Order: sequence, then structure tokens, then C-alpha cells
Amino acid sequence: MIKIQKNRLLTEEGKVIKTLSCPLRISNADLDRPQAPESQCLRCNRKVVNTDWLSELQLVALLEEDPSTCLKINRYNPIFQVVE
Amino acid sequence: MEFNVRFDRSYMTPRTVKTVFALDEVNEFISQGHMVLFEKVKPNKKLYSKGFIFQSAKDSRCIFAPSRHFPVQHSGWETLSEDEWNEVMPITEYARERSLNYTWAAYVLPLAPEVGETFYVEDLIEDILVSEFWESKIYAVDGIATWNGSALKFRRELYDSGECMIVG
Repeated sequence: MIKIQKNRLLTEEGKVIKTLSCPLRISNADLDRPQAPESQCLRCNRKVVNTDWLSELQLVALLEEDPSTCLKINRYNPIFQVVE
Repeated sequence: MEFNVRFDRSYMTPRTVKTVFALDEVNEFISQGHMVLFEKVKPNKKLYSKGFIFQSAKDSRCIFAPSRHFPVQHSGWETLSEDEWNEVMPITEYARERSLNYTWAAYVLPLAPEVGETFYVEDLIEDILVSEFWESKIYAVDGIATWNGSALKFRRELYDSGECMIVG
């Protein structure tokens, strides 16, 4: 399980694999295809990867390759634990 | 799946509005001096999920699927061919089952509500779809509302799909 704490994504070993840094408040209406594996943000034009489609291993591999990848994370996705 | 509104409870500790579903409970609260607000319980069409029961021609195992061709979370798309899977029947499910058991409910306000006072509503009567996760509908179960003297005005922005999302 990947922990999300203070805008950081951490592996179970506590390694930080990404820092979430979007300054915009994005909702599904801001994405051109919000349910698709990838979509484009209509506010900044960046590609956004929908983590609903990824396993934990796939996500970690993706972020090792490019930690700046923009992610869409559903709080109800069981691969994540959101620590408020 | 249930969605609870996210708000900063550290500086705001609102009084709680209860929800009741039986007239004897309503009358009990009225006798104690509470104000009650009746509301119809109406299913929201967005909370219905449609799909089919399919049965394997090979081993008779039955499964639910939204269609014969559907996305699978970690492995792309799956197809249930007509040769291998027989459609048993179409089915419809409602995410918030509770709402199918009642036709009305009532909010019970705390005693002496003040106009402009903000309340925490622990059991929302209205059915609101907040977001979805694959086949799961994520619906609101509570809320924050302000009393205007005649009705509760809910903070609708707390049910925006962005409340379930983190982007960055």
C-alpha cells in the first residue's frame, strides 16, 4: 500500500516516491477524459495519469522512471492510504 | 462506498442534526421542543449500476459484468464471448440500499437553532453521487448545512468529485 501523507507518496518502506504539487484544485470536469487511463488537464495542458488503472507495482515503476508524472489519485483506491 | 464530507473540525464543532425515519421518533423529538424538517427519500438515477449475470458454458460459474466488453483495473479490457459466456439476465443495483427502504425521512434540528448557524448533518436524506471507483459508486452520507430560518442550506461544494481526488 502506498501512503499519502502531507502531499508525499511513500512506499511501505517509507521511501518518498513523489511529491504532489498541483497548485490548482482539479476535479473531473477539468480533465478531458477523466475515466480514461490518461487524460489531459484542461487547465494546464499536462498529461495526467489515472492511477485507477495501475497496480501498486506499476505505479512505483512509473514514478521511478519519471517522478514528475502528474497523477490523478482516487482516495477510495485501495492501493492508497491517505493520512490526513 | 460511503463518502464523508471533509471539513476542518479543529476550529468548527457544529451541533448535529439527526435524521429519523419513523413518526413515533418524530413525535418524541417534537414533544421535546425540536423542530423537524420532512423530506422525501428519492433514489438518484446516478446511483444505479446496470450489468448482467453471465454464466460460463465451460464450468457453469456465474459472474457479474457491466457488459460483454469491459475494462479491468490492472489488465486492460476483458471480453466475454458469446461462445463461452451465456447471458443469464440483466440486473440493476442501487448503491445506497437504505434509500430503497424509506419514502420519507426527517431532519431533527438541535434545540433553539439560530439563523445562520451551521450544523453537521450526520445522515443525509438526499442521495448524492460524489465520485466513482470502477464499478463502485461513492455516495455522500453526511453534510454541513446552514439554517436560514426555514430550511437547511447544504454546502454543495463538499460533494464535488474533486473531494475524492488528488491531482499532482
